[in-house]
Amino acid sequence: MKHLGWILDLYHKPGQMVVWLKKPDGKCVRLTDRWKPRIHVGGDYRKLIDLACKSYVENSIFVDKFERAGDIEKSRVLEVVVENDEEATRLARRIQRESSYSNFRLYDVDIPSPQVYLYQKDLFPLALVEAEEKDEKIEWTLRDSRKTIDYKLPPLRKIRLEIKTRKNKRIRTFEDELDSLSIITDREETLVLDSGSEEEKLLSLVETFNEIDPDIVVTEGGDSFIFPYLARRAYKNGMLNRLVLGRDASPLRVYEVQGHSYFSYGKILYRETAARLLGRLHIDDHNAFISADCGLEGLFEISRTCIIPIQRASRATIGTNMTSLQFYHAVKENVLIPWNKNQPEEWKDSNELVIADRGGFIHEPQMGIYDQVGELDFTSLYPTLMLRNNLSGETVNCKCCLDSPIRVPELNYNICKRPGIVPLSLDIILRRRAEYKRLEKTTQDESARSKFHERQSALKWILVCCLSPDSPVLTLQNGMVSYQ
Amino acid sequence: METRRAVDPLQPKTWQLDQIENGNQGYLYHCMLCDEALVLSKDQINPRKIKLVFDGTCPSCGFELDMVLSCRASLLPAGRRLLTSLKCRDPELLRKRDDQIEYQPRRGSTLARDLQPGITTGIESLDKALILKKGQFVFLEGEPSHALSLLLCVRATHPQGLDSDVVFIDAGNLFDTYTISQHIVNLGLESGRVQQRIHLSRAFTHHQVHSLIVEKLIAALDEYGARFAVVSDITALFCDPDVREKKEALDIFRQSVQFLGKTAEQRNMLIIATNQKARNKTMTDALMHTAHVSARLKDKGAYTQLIIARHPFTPQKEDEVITLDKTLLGYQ
Repeated sequence: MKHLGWILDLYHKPGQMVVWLKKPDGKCVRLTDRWKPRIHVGGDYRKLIDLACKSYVENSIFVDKFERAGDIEKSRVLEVVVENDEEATRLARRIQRESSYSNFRLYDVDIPSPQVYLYQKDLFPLALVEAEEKDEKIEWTLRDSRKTIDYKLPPLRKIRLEIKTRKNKRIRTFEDELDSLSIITDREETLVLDSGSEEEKLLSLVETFNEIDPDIVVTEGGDSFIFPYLARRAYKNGMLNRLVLGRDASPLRVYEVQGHSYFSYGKILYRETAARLLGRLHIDDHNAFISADCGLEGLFEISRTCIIPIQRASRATIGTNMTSLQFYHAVKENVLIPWNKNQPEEWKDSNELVIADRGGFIHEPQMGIYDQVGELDFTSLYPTLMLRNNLSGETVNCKCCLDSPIRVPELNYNICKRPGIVPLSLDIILRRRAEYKRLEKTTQDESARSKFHERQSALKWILVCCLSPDSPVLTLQNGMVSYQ
Repeated sequence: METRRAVDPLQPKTWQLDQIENGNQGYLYHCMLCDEALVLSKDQINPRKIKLVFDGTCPSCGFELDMVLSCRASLLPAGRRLLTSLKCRDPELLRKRDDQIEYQPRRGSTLARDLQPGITTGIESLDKALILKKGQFVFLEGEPSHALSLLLCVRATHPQGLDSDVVFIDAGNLFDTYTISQHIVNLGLESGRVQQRIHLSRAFTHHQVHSLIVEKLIAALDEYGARFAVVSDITALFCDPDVREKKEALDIFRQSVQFLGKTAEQRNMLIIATNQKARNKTMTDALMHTAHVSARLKDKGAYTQLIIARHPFTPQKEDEVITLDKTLLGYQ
C-alpha cells in the first residue's frame, strides 16, 4: 500500500522503526519498517575475529569503512546489529570492559537510532514522501528536498495543555490531587475538564485527545511536571495503562524527573528529561531552545535542515543540532562516528602553540558609557571562513595534500583539497540563511516576511556554535546592542 | 634448510584428501553441498570464525556457510596442526596464537641506586630529597607541582640536565609558555631552541588523556627522542563532573598510570605526573602506589613544604618533610 505524506514523528521499537506520516487530508498513518541499529568496532583484525566469535557478539559481519574523517583508505571493521540504542551502549561497554579498554575502537554507539535511520534512508523530518509498505519493510520515495527554500508544510493541529492541582503546600507536588485540565485549541477555544473524580478527568483528557487528535501539544513545564504528574496520578488511580495521550497505543510512562546539568557557553544549564508523546509533537516552552526564540517555523527549519526529529530538535542545544548535520555527512561519506571523544590534538612545540593560540587572547573593554560606537557584526564570519577555506578537524594538516595551496597563515599547515565534514555541513546552512535574508528584505507579505525571519534567525543560532565558546557575539535586536 | 610452514594447504575436495592410516585425530570443516574442504585442524575451531575468514560463503559453490558449513572427524598428517583451503585468503587468522609470556622484571629492579640526581631543579634541598633520575615515574601532588614541572621541562633540555626533548601531555590545560620563557631567560638558554624541544598536546576529555598516554606517547617519545615526559594535573579530566561512567573512568585511569610506570622503567626515562589537588582518593592511591617517587608540595605563602611519601631506594624518607625557604615560583 502506498501513502503520501509528511514525516511527523519517528522512533525505534525493538526490531523496527515506527514512522508517523501526516497525510494531505489531515489524517495520520503509522508505518513500521523492519530495521535495527548497528554499531562498528575497529581494531586488530585477528582480535576482531576473536571478538566476533564471542557469544555476546552475535549477528556481525565485516565491512569496510573510514575509521576517521580524512583517512585515505577504508579499514575493515566489525559491524554488529543490535536490538536498540540501549543494547548498543550495553554491548559497547562490555566490549571495552572485557578488552581492558585498549583493544577496540567503538563507533556509531550513541547516535539516536531515528537520526541514523533518516541519514541512511536520505529522509528528513517534515519531508514530503511517498511510502510503500512491502513485507514489513518500507520503500521510500522522496518528493521533497532539503535544499528547497519555499517548502510546503502540512496544516498541523496545535493545542496548549494546562493543568491545575489542588495544592496542599505552597509549591505544587506530585502528591496533589488533580483539580482541572484546560485545553486551548489553535482557534483559541478553551475546553476545561474539571468534573468528576480524578480518574474521570484523566479519562476525559484521553477522550479529548482522541477527538481533537492534535499534532502539536504545547505546554509550559510538560517535561518537568505536567506529564510526569499525570502519569503518577493515573498510576495512583490504577489506570496508567489507559492514559494514552500519544497516537501510539503506548500509555504514558511514569519516570523519575531527573534532568541533567551541563556547561555551555559559560553557563551551567539544566535540562529536563523529555516527555515524548509518540506520534504527536510535545513542545515544552520551558524546555525548548529554538522554538522559544524563533517560533515553530524556526524549529521546523532546523529539524529539516539538520535532520533531527522535531521533538529532539526543540530540546537540543545548537551544538547538538549542528552535530546531527555533521553526522549526516559522515554517514554519507562512510566515515564512522567515534563513541568517545578520544582524538587529541596533534603534537606541537611551544613556539607553535604561541602562534596557534593567538586568537585566544581577548582584550578587556574599558568600562564606561560611550557615544558614537560602531558595530562590527562578525556573526557569520567564522562559518564563512570555514566554508571558504575548507576548515575542518580532518582537513588541517592532512596527510594527503601536503602540497595544497591553501595554507594556515604563519603556521603553514596544509589544508586538504577534499571537502571536510564541517564545511560540507555549513554550506547548506549558510546558503539557506543568505536566501532567507534576501527574501525577508524583498517580500511584501508580512506573514511571509515573519516566516523567513524566524527561519533565518534559527539558522543563525546554529551557526553560533561555530564560534569558540568564549567568543562574545555582538548582536543588534530591536535597536538594542548586546553581547551574547 | 627449509622453513616449515605454520599453515599447510589442503586438497580442494573432501574426497581428494589423502587417505591417512597413522595420523592425528582432527576436525575437518567442509561445505556439505559441494564437498569443498575448507579447514582441517587438530583443534576445534569456532565455526563462526571459519565463516568470517571465508567471508561468509563457500569459496567453491558460493552458498552461505551459515547453511552449508559442516564438521566431521578426520585424520591429519603426522606433525601437522592446521591445513586450509588454498582459497582461504588469510589462513594465519585460524592458527591458534602462541601465548607469549611477557618478561616482567620486578618493579624498580632496573633503577639506579646511587643518590646522585639525574636532573636537578637548581634547588639544592629539593634535589637532595627527590633524587630525580631516569627510569622513575614521579608523582607530585599540590598546586606548586605544576610550577616545578615547568621548571624541569626547561632544565631537561639543558646539556647539563638530560639534554633531551620533552613531551608534555597537558591534561589540566595548564601549560604556560610565558613561565617557560622566563625560565629560559633565567637559565641563559637559547629561547627558540628550547621552545622547539618542548612538544605538547592538550587533552579536553579523559578519553583523550588516556589516548595520549596509552596510544600516542610512545610514538612521540620515539619521534622526538625524548627522555623526559610530563602529564599535567592527571586526575582533573577523569574527575570532571561531566564524566558519567565513573567506573570506566577509574579503570582507564588505572591503566594509564600503570602504563606510565612501565614506560618510565622500560625506556629508562623520567616521567612526572602532577596533580593540582587530591580529588579522588582511589586515584591518588593508584598514583601513590604506582609511582616510584611520590611527594606532596604545599604552598605555605612565604615558603613551600615538600612531603616525600614514597621513594624507592631511600625508604627512610617516608613522610619526610622538607621546607623550602621560598615559594616555588621564587626559584625562577
